[in-house]
Amino acid sequence: MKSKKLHFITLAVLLFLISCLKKAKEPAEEIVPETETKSFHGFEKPAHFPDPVYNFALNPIDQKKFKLGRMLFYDPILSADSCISCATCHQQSVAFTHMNHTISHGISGFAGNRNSPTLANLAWSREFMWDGGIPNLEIQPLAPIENHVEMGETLANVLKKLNRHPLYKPRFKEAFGKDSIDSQQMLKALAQFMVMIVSSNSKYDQYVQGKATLDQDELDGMKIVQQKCASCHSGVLFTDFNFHNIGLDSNTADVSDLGREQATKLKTDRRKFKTPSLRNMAITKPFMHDGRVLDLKFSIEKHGEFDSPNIAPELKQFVGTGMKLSDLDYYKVFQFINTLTDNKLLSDTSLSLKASDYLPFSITPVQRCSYVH
Amino acid sequence: MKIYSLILLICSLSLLSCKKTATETTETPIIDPNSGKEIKYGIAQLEFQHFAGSELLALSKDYVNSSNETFKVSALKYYVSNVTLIKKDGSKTLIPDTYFLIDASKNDASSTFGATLRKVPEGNYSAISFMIGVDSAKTVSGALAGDLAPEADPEHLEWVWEGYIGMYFTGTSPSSNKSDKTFAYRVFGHKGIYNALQTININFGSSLLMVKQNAVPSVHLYADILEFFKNPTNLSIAKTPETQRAADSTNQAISKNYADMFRLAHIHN
Repeated sequence: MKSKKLHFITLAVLLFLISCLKKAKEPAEEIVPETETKSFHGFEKPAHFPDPVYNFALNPIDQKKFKLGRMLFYDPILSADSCISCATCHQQSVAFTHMNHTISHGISGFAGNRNSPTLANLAWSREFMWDGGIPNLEIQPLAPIENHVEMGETLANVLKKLNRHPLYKPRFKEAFGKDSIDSQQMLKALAQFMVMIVSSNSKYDQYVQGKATLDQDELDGMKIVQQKCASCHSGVLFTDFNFHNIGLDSNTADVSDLGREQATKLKTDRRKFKTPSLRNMAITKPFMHDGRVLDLKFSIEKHGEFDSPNIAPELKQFVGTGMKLSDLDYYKVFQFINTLTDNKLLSDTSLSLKASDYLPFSITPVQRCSYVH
Repeated sequence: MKIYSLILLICSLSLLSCKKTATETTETPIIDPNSGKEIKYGIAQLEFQHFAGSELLALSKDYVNSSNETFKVSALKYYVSNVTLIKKDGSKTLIPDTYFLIDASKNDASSTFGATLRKVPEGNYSAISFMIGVDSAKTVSGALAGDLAPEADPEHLEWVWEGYIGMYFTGTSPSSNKSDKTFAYRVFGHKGIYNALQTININFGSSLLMVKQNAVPSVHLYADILEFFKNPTNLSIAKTPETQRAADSTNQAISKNYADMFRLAHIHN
């Protein structure tokens, strides 16, 4: 009889301990190395930048969510054949564009039809893609995930894969506090990583803040850009985030990509594309929405080459010849463009693939994905 | 005996250790700034039942539209949003977070499909209004959950390029010139000249919807799919077997057609 009572006591004590166990365990679950935790500041608006467009109030930057976004960004789990990740076409070493690729190739090597744009400074962008068809950064990843020639997946299947994944499932729960991963959590995490890709530390940025000087050629180049380019490549972000037809093709040319018209259905938007920033241009060739231009000089000359009913009025004067500069002016403009390269962004390890994020698993690209380069 | 009291003590201790989570859910009362009284909330139910003319909708049956075309329904889904209740004095209360995907093809099309309004201030209401489609502000506000999550529907009523499909209506008809004899109307457009959002106003007539705590009154509505094909624009399956996945004038015209498909059946209090 006595031993039975003792069992009761043991059981009760055990119950009590279990009820406390969860609480006691929590702090130990954090496996972030201390150095990384300390250096994480969330999103910081560069002092010389305008206010961002992205609504941080609806997705406050949090280190756990940001890290999940980074994991997803570099993980080919988002593609149908587990070969393509976001980073396949958005490589940090070339300001999150696709190095030397006119257009990119997705699953099974299928070719897309547009040049992979930079992901730098998306927090200031109102609309996404070359035609601005997507109104919010958070839902943008749905397009490449479900595009047959990009990641070729279905959202439902991606969520299924994530929900049975031994790493993602518990980490999402820790970050978002929900039992299963839905698209909202996945997309908010990806958005956290993307808005943290900020290019604001080039030599030009140092100059603007009075921390560096530009030499005479660079200053002359800046003046030329301000005079001839800044109506569209405007402000400190070097884009007006607007859409323009720059006269790339003749009206009779057989061009299937109607640009902005595809998003708005307005004929007046035919072949208008989003103004790309001049930031990091020196390292992000090729240029234009379809990557048709392979060098800087040609990218300038292409402006206004052909007339079009929708051509940007500033380019009318160049119709027939394109925008041409003297050799010396080209040189000076290139010198200035070089000051817009942000080496700090290219080497910022907080934005790089971290093998440790995936431990004890490995994320090494598999051999069979030979077409990924 | 002593041991039992010890067990009791330990058990109550273990209960205490869980107490924190139990108290976190209590809400602070919301005070009406005009009357100074606490606002109390009740629940109301919005119910939809679908018809083709006078017949209850069934997915296997043939119906005839106003262009004298025979058709069968494969899917009928739509978003109901921005539910607003209106009192006799004209005052309107927008019920927050009311975004519902009504899928009449999910089970048996003839059943009743409900949407629960979870936070309705107590009172007597004489009319209701709601939107078919998802408003522009919500559409562009980023990644959403629940009925607005893109995975909420296999047909992707949430379409990244154009916002949400407000109304999705597909079926088959011998009049369709498509090889598989299908027709598909996906009505888009949340802004600009091709805005296809429709606000539906339903007056309760002599009835009142009486919302109070511990009761679940309901507004029962009928929706007639034949209205799709007429008033103000005649829609013929032969001429227009489908609409494009884009905001355009055809989609907008169809939205004006179905704006009058809803009518009041009755109110339950």
